[in-house]
Amino acid sequence: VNPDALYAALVDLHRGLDDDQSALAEARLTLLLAEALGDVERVRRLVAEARAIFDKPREAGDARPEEER
Amino acid sequence: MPFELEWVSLYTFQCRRLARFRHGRVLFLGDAAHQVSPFGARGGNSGIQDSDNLAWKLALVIAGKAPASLLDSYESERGFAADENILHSTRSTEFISPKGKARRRLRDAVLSLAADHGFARAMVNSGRLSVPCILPAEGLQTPDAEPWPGGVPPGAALPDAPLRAAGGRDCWLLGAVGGRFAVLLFEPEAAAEARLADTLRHHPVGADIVVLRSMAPATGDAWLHDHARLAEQRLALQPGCACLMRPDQHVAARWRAVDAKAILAALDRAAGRTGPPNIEAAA
Repeated sequence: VNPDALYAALVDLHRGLDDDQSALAEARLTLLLAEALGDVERVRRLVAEARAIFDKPREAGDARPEEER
Repeated sequence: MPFELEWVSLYTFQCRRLARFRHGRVLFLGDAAHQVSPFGARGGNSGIQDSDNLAWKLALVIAGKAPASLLDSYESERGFAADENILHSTRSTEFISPKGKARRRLRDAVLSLAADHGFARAMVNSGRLSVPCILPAEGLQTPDAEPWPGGVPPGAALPDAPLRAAGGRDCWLLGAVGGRFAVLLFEPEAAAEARLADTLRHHPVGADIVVLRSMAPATGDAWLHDHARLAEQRLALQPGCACLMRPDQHVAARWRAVDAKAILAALDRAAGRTGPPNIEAAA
Protein backbone atom coordinates (compact mmCIF):
# COMPACT_ATOMS: atom_id res chain seq x y z
CA VAL A 1 0.00 0.00 0.00
CA ASN A 2 1.29 3.41 -0.95
CA PRO A 3 0.82 5.42 2.28
CA ASP A 4 0.59 8.81 0.55
CA ALA A 5 -1.99 7.54 -1.93
CA LEU A 6 -4.03 5.96 0.87
CA TYR A 7 -4.02 9.19 2.87
CA ALA A 8 -4.93 11.22 -0.22
CA ALA A 9 -7.80 8.86 -0.97
CA LEU A 10 -9.22 9.49 2.53
CA VAL A 11 -8.68 13.27 2.28
CA ASP A 12 -10.64 13.17 -0.95
CA LEU A 13 -13.73 12.19 1.05
CA HIS A 14 -13.90 15.77 2.31
CA ARG A 15 -13.37 17.60 -0.98
CA GLY A 16 -15.85 20.48 -1.31
CA LEU A 17 -17.86 19.46 1.78
CA ASP A 18 -18.65 21.62 4.80
CA ASP A 19 -18.09 20.21 8.31
CA ASP A 20 -21.56 18.71 8.70
CA GLN A 21 -21.45 17.10 5.27
CA SER A 22 -17.94 15.77 5.97
CA ALA A 23 -19.09 14.22 9.23
CA LEU A 24 -22.00 12.45 7.53
CA ALA A 25 -19.73 11.28 4.70
CA GLU A 26 -17.34 9.91 7.34
CA ALA A 27 -20.13 8.00 9.01
CA ARG A 28 -21.15 6.55 5.63
CA LEU A 29 -17.55 5.59 4.94
CA THR A 30 -17.26 3.92 8.36
CA LEU A 31 -20.28 1.77 7.57
CA LEU A 32 -19.03 0.88 4.09
CA LEU A 33 -15.58 -0.04 5.40
CA ALA A 34 -17.06 -2.11 8.24
CA GLU A 35 -19.26 -3.98 5.78
CA ALA A 36 -16.28 -4.54 3.47
CA LEU A 37 -14.38 -6.08 6.41
CA GLY A 38 -17.31 -8.41 6.96
CA ASP A 39 -16.23 -9.49 10.46
CA VAL A 40 -17.87 -8.11 13.62
CA GLU A 41 -15.00 -9.27 15.84
CA ARG A 42 -12.44 -7.39 13.75
CA VAL A 43 -14.65 -4.31 13.76
CA ARG A 44 -14.90 -4.55 17.59
CA ARG A 45 -11.10 -4.71 17.88
CA LEU A 46 -10.67 -1.71 15.56
CA VAL A 47 -13.34 0.25 17.46
CA ALA A 48 -11.41 -0.44 20.69
CA GLU A 49 -8.17 0.67 18.99
CA ALA A 50 -9.77 3.84 17.64
CA ARG A 51 -11.03 4.96 21.04
CA ALA A 52 -8.05 3.67 23.01
CA ILE A 53 -6.63 7.19 23.47
CA PHE A 54 -9.81 8.14 25.39
CA ASP A 55 -10.20 4.94 27.41
CA LYS A 56 -8.50 4.36 30.71
CA PRO A 57 -6.05 1.46 30.45
CA ARG A 58 -7.66 -1.74 31.72
CA GLU A 59 -6.16 -3.78 34.46
CA ALA A 60 -4.89 -7.10 33.21
CA GLY A 61 -7.70 -9.63 33.08
CA ASP A 62 -10.49 -7.08 33.48
CA ALA A 63 -12.81 -7.83 30.59
CA ARG A 64 -15.75 -5.77 31.88
CA PRO A 65 -17.03 -3.00 29.65
CA GLU A 66 -15.99 0.56 30.53
CA GLU A 67 -19.20 1.61 32.25
CA GLU A 68 -19.04 -1.26 34.77
CA ARG A 69 -15.56 -0.46 36.06
CA MET B 1 -39.77 12.66 0.95
CA PRO B 2 -41.36 15.88 2.30
CA PHE B 3 -43.84 15.38 5.12
CA GLU B 4 -45.84 17.42 7.58
CA LEU B 5 -46.07 16.60 11.29
CA GLU B 6 -49.71 16.30 12.39
CA TRP B 7 -49.14 15.44 16.01
CA VAL B 8 -46.10 15.18 18.22
CA SER B 9 -45.93 13.76 21.70
CA LEU B 10 -43.33 12.54 24.15
CA TYR B 11 -43.41 9.39 26.17
CA THR B 12 -40.86 7.67 28.32
CA PHE B 13 -40.21 4.01 29.00
CA GLN B 14 -37.74 1.85 30.84
CA CYS B 15 -35.72 -1.20 29.87
CA ARG B 16 -35.18 -3.03 33.15
CA ARG B 17 -35.89 -6.27 35.02
CA LEU B 18 -35.99 -7.68 38.51
CA ALA B 19 -32.82 -9.55 39.44
CA ARG B 20 -34.98 -12.46 40.70
CA PHE B 21 -38.40 -13.48 39.37
CA ARG B 22 -38.97 -15.96 42.19
CA HIS B 23 -38.93 -14.93 45.82
CA GLY B 24 -39.94 -18.11 47.62
CA ARG B 25 -43.69 -18.46 47.10
CA VAL B 26 -43.98 -15.13 45.29
CA LEU B 27 -43.50 -15.21 41.51
CA PHE B 28 -43.21 -12.18 39.27
CA LEU B 29 -44.15 -12.19 35.61
CA GLY B 30 -44.98 -9.82 32.77
CA ASP B 31 -44.49 -6.12 33.41
CA ALA B 32 -44.06 -6.81 37.13
CA ALA B 33 -40.87 -8.74 36.32
CA HIS B 34 -39.46 -6.85 33.34
CA GLN B 35 -40.15 -3.76 31.27
CA VAL B 36 -39.09 -3.02 27.71
CA SER B 37 -39.63 -0.33 25.10
CA PRO B 38 -42.75 -0.70 22.95
CA PHE B 39 -40.72 -1.58 19.81
CA GLY B 40 -41.22 -5.14 18.59
CA ALA B 41 -44.27 -6.22 20.59
CA ARG B 42 -42.08 -7.65 23.35
CA GLY B 43 -44.04 -6.55 26.41
CA GLY B 44 -47.33 -8.35 25.87
CA ASN B 45 -45.74 -11.33 24.13
CA SER B 46 -43.22 -11.93 26.87
CA GLY B 47 -45.94 -11.66 29.54
CA ILE B 48 -47.91 -14.43 27.84
CA GLN B 49 -44.74 -16.48 27.33
CA ASP B 50 -43.94 -16.05 31.04
CA SER B 51 -47.33 -17.46 32.00
CA ASP B 52 -46.99 -20.31 29.45
CA ASN B 53 -43.68 -21.16 31.07
CA LEU B 54 -44.91 -20.90 34.65
CA ALA B 55 -48.42 -22.40 34.54
CA TRP B 56 -47.51 -26.06 33.93
CA LYS B 57 -44.65 -25.93 36.41
CA LEU B 58 -46.90 -24.50 39.08
CA ALA B 59 -49.52 -27.16 38.30
CA LEU B 60 -46.97 -29.99 38.68
CA VAL B 61 -45.61 -28.58 41.95
CA ILE B 62 -49.08 -28.03 43.43
CA ALA B 63 -50.05 -31.59 42.44
CA GLY B 64 -46.95 -32.87 44.23
CA LYS B 65 -45.55 -34.36 41.01
CA ALA B 66 -42.49 -32.13 40.87
CA PRO B 67 -40.34 -30.48 43.55
CA ALA B 68 -40.71 -26.74 44.24
CA SER B 69 -37.23 -26.28 42.77
CA LEU B 70 -38.86 -26.65 39.33
CA LEU B 71 -40.06 -23.08 39.86
CA ASP B 72 -36.45 -21.89 39.83
CA SER B 73 -36.32 -22.93 36.17
CA TYR B 74 -39.12 -20.42 35.52
CA GLU B 75 -36.78 -17.71 36.74
CA SER B 76 -33.74 -18.91 34.80
CA GLU B 77 -35.62 -19.57 31.54
CA ARG B 78 -37.69 -16.41 31.55
CA GLY B 79 -34.83 -14.32 32.92
CA PHE B 80 -32.85 -15.48 29.88
CA ALA B 81 -35.76 -14.42 27.65
CA ALA B 82 -36.08 -11.07 29.43
CA ASP B 83 -32.38 -10.35 28.87
CA GLU B 84 -32.82 -11.16 25.17
CA ASN B 85 -35.86 -8.86 24.97
CA ILE B 86 -34.06 -6.05 26.78
CA LEU B 87 -31.06 -6.39 24.45
CA HIS B 88 -33.24 -6.14 21.31
CA SER B 89 -35.31 -3.39 22.83
CA THR B 90 -32.28 -1.35 23.86
CA ARG B 91 -30.82 -1.68 20.36
CA SER B 92 -34.06 -0.52 18.72
CA THR B 93 -34.25 2.40 21.12
CA GLU B 94 -30.68 3.38 20.28
CA PHE B 95 -31.51 3.37 16.57
CA ILE B 96 -34.82 5.22 16.86
CA SER B 97 -33.63 7.89 19.29
CA PRO B 98 -29.83 8.13 19.16
CA LYS B 99 -28.23 9.92 22.08
CA GLY B 100 -25.96 12.75 20.91
CA LYS B 101 -24.92 14.21 17.56
CA ALA B 102 -22.37 11.55 16.57
CA ARG B 103 -24.73 8.65 17.22
CA ARG B 104 -27.51 10.40 15.33
CA ARG B 105 -25.12 10.92 12.41
CA LEU B 106 -24.26 7.22 12.36
CA ARG B 107 -27.97 6.38 12.33
CA ASP B 108 -28.59 8.92 9.54
CA ALA B 109 -25.68 7.45 7.57
CA VAL B 110 -27.37 4.03 7.76
CA LEU B 111 -30.63 5.55 6.50
CA SER B 112 -28.87 7.38 3.66
CA LEU B 113 -27.11 4.18 2.54
CA ALA B 114 -30.21 2.01 2.90
CA ALA B 115 -31.68 2.80 -0.53
CA ASP B 116 -28.68 1.39 -2.41
CA HIS B 117 -27.09 -1.07 0.04
CA GLY B 118 -28.77 -4.18 1.38
CA PHE B 119 -26.45 -4.41 4.41
CA ALA B 120 -27.51 -0.92 5.53
CA ARG B 121 -31.18 -1.70 4.89
CA ALA B 122 -30.81 -4.69 7.21
CA MET B 123 -29.43 -2.40 9.94
CA VAL B 124 -32.53 -0.18 9.93
CA ASN B 125 -34.00 -1.07 13.30
CA SER B 126 -37.44 0.30 14.00
CA GLY B 127 -38.13 -2.66 16.30
CA ARG B 128 -37.34 -6.32 15.65
CA LEU B 129 -40.56 -8.26 15.89
CA SER B 130 -40.70 -10.50 18.94
CA VAL B 131 -40.18 -14.21 18.27
CA PRO B 132 -40.18 -16.95 20.93
CA CYS B 133 -36.76 -17.26 22.47
CA ILE B 134 -34.74 -20.45 22.15
CA LEU B 135 -34.22 -21.65 25.71
CA PRO B 136 -30.74 -22.99 26.48
CA ALA B 137 -30.41 -26.65 25.45
CA GLU B 138 -29.53 -27.55 29.03
CA GLY B 139 -31.36 -27.24 32.35
CA LEU B 140 -34.75 -28.86 31.75
CA GLN B 141 -33.79 -29.71 28.17
CA THR B 142 -31.83 -32.79 27.15
CA PRO B 143 -29.23 -31.92 24.49
CA ASP B 144 -29.15 -33.97 21.27
CA ALA B 145 -27.19 -37.20 21.72
CA GLU B 146 -26.65 -37.51 17.98
CA PRO B 147 -26.17 -34.84 15.33
CA TRP B 148 -29.50 -33.58 13.99
CA PRO B 149 -28.99 -31.06 11.20
CA GLY B 150 -31.85 -28.57 10.83
CA GLY B 151 -35.21 -28.89 12.45
CA VAL B 152 -36.10 -27.57 15.88
CA PRO B 153 -33.44 -28.02 18.58
CA PRO B 154 -34.23 -28.70 22.26
CA GLY B 155 -35.27 -25.42 23.87
CA ALA B 156 -36.90 -23.98 20.74
CA ALA B 157 -40.64 -23.45 20.31
CA LEU B 158 -42.43 -25.88 18.01
CA PRO B 159 -43.42 -24.41 14.63
CA ASP B 160 -46.91 -25.16 13.37
CA ALA B 161 -47.85 -27.40 10.45
CA PRO B 162 -51.19 -28.36 8.86
CA LEU B 163 -52.26 -31.95 9.57
CA ARG B 164 -55.27 -34.14 8.90
CA ALA B 165 -56.81 -36.39 11.51
CA ALA B 166 -58.16 -39.84 10.73
CA GLY B 167 -61.60 -39.29 9.24
CA GLY B 168 -60.36 -36.35 7.16
CA ARG B 169 -60.69 -33.50 9.66
CA ASP B 170 -58.06 -30.76 9.10
CA CYS B 171 -56.12 -29.74 12.19
CA TRP B 172 -52.80 -28.22 13.25
CA LEU B 173 -49.71 -29.56 14.93
CA LEU B 174 -49.85 -26.91 17.66
CA GLY B 175 -53.43 -27.96 18.37
CA ALA B 176 -52.28 -31.56 18.87
CA VAL B 177 -49.63 -30.86 21.53
CA GLY B 178 -49.55 -28.53 24.49
CA GLY B 179 -51.01 -28.28 27.97
CA ARG B 180 -49.44 -31.64 28.85
CA PHE B 181 -46.15 -33.30 28.00
CA ALA B 182 -46.31 -35.09 24.67
CA VAL B 183 -44.06 -37.44 22.76
CA LEU B 184 -44.24 -36.79 19.06
CA LEU B 185 -43.51 -39.96 17.06
CA PHE B 186 -42.91 -39.92 13.31
CA GLU B 187 -43.65 -43.15 11.42
CA PRO B 188 -43.08 -45.27 14.54
CA GLU B 189 -42.86 -49.05 14.54
CA ALA B 190 -45.97 -50.45 16.18
CA ALA B 191 -44.01 -52.43 18.81
CA ALA B 192 -41.90 -49.42 19.89
CA GLU B 193 -45.00 -47.25 20.14
CA ALA B 194 -46.81 -49.84 22.26
CA ARG B 195 -43.81 -50.28 24.61
CA LEU B 196 -43.53 -46.51 25.06
CA ALA B 197 -47.26 -46.14 25.76
CA ASP B 198 -47.00 -48.87 28.37
CA THR B 199 -44.02 -47.20 30.08
CA LEU B 200 -45.60 -43.75 30.10
CA ARG B 201 -48.81 -45.08 31.63
CA HIS B 202 -46.99 -45.75 34.91
CA HIS B 203 -45.19 -42.40 35.07
CA PRO B 204 -46.62 -39.89 37.59
CA VAL B 205 -46.29 -36.95 35.18
CA GLY B 206 -47.09 -38.90 32.02
CA ALA B 207 -47.13 -37.74 28.44
CA ASP B 208 -49.50 -37.98 25.50
CA ILE B 209 -48.30 -39.84 22.45
CA VAL B 210 -48.92 -38.03 19.16
CA VAL B 211 -48.20 -40.07 16.05
CA LEU B 212 -47.46 -38.38 12.74
CA ARG B 213 -47.47 -40.24 9.44
CA SER B 214 -46.59 -38.96 6.00
CA MET B 215 -48.73 -41.69 4.38
CA ALA B 216 -52.18 -42.31 5.81
CA PRO B 217 -52.41 -45.97 6.82
CA ALA B 218 -55.54 -47.94 5.97
CA THR B 219 -56.33 -48.85 9.56
CA GLY B 220 -56.41 -47.32 13.02
CA ASP B 221 -57.22 -43.73 13.94
CA ALA B 222 -54.57 -42.78 16.53
CA TRP B 223 -52.40 -40.82 14.12
CA LEU B 224 -52.24 -37.51 12.30
CA HIS B 225 -51.52 -37.30 8.60
CA ASP B 226 -48.70 -34.90 7.69
CA HIS B 227 -50.23 -34.59 4.22
CA ALA B 228 -48.25 -31.51 3.16
CA ARG B 229 -45.09 -33.01 4.72
CA LEU B 230 -44.49 -29.67 6.42
CA ALA B 231 -44.12 -31.10 9.94
CA GLU B 232 -41.54 -33.53 8.55
CA GLN B 233 -39.73 -30.68 6.80
CA ARG B 234 -39.88 -28.08 9.60
CA LEU B 235 -38.78 -30.49 12.34
CA ALA B 236 -36.36 -32.38 10.04
CA LEU B 237 -38.06 -35.66 11.03
CA GLN B 238 -36.91 -39.09 9.94
CA PRO B 239 -38.97 -42.27 10.22
CA GLY B 240 -38.78 -43.75 13.72
CA CYS B 241 -37.70 -40.56 15.49
CA ALA B 242 -39.24 -39.08 18.65
CA CYS B 243 -39.55 -35.55 20.13
CA LEU B 244 -40.50 -34.82 23.72
CA MET B 245 -42.64 -31.68 23.89
CA ARG B 246 -43.06 -29.60 27.02
CA PRO B 247 -46.58 -28.47 27.95
CA ASP B 248 -45.60 -24.95 26.75
CA GLN B 249 -44.85 -26.34 23.27
CA HIS B 250 -41.08 -25.98 23.54
CA VAL B 251 -39.02 -29.01 22.48
CA ALA B 252 -37.46 -30.73 25.52
CA ALA B 253 -35.52 -33.46 23.70
CA ARG B 254 -35.43 -35.45 20.47
CA TRP B 255 -34.11 -38.83 19.40
CA ARG B 256 -33.40 -40.63 16.16
CA ALA B 257 -35.13 -43.74 17.54
CA VAL B 258 -37.74 -44.46 20.22
CA ASP B 259 -35.83 -45.31 23.40
CA ALA B 260 -38.36 -45.54 26.24
CA LYS B 261 -35.70 -45.31 28.94
CA ALA B 262 -34.13 -42.17 27.46
CA ILE B 263 -37.58 -40.62 26.99
CA LEU B 264 -38.48 -41.25 30.65
CA ALA B 265 -35.18 -39.76 31.79
CA ALA B 266 -35.78 -36.65 29.65
CA LEU B 267 -39.36 -36.41 30.96
CA ASP B 268 -38.11 -36.55 34.57
CA ARG B 269 -35.51 -33.93 33.78
CA ALA B 270 -37.99 -31.63 31.96
CA ALA B 271 -40.37 -31.89 34.94
CA GLY B 272 -37.57 -30.95 37.33
CA ARG B 273 -37.72 -34.35 39.01
CA THR B 274 -34.02 -34.95 38.34
CA GLY B 275 -31.17 -32.64 37.45
CA PRO B 276 -29.03 -33.01 34.35
CA PRO B 277 -27.09 -36.34 34.54
CA ASN B 278 -23.72 -34.71 35.36
CA ILE B 279 -25.18 -32.79 38.32
CA GLU B 280 -26.71 -35.98 39.66
CA ALA B 281 -23.39 -37.78 39.42
CA ALA B 282 -21.62 -34.96 41.26
CA ALA B 283 -24.19 -34.84 44.09
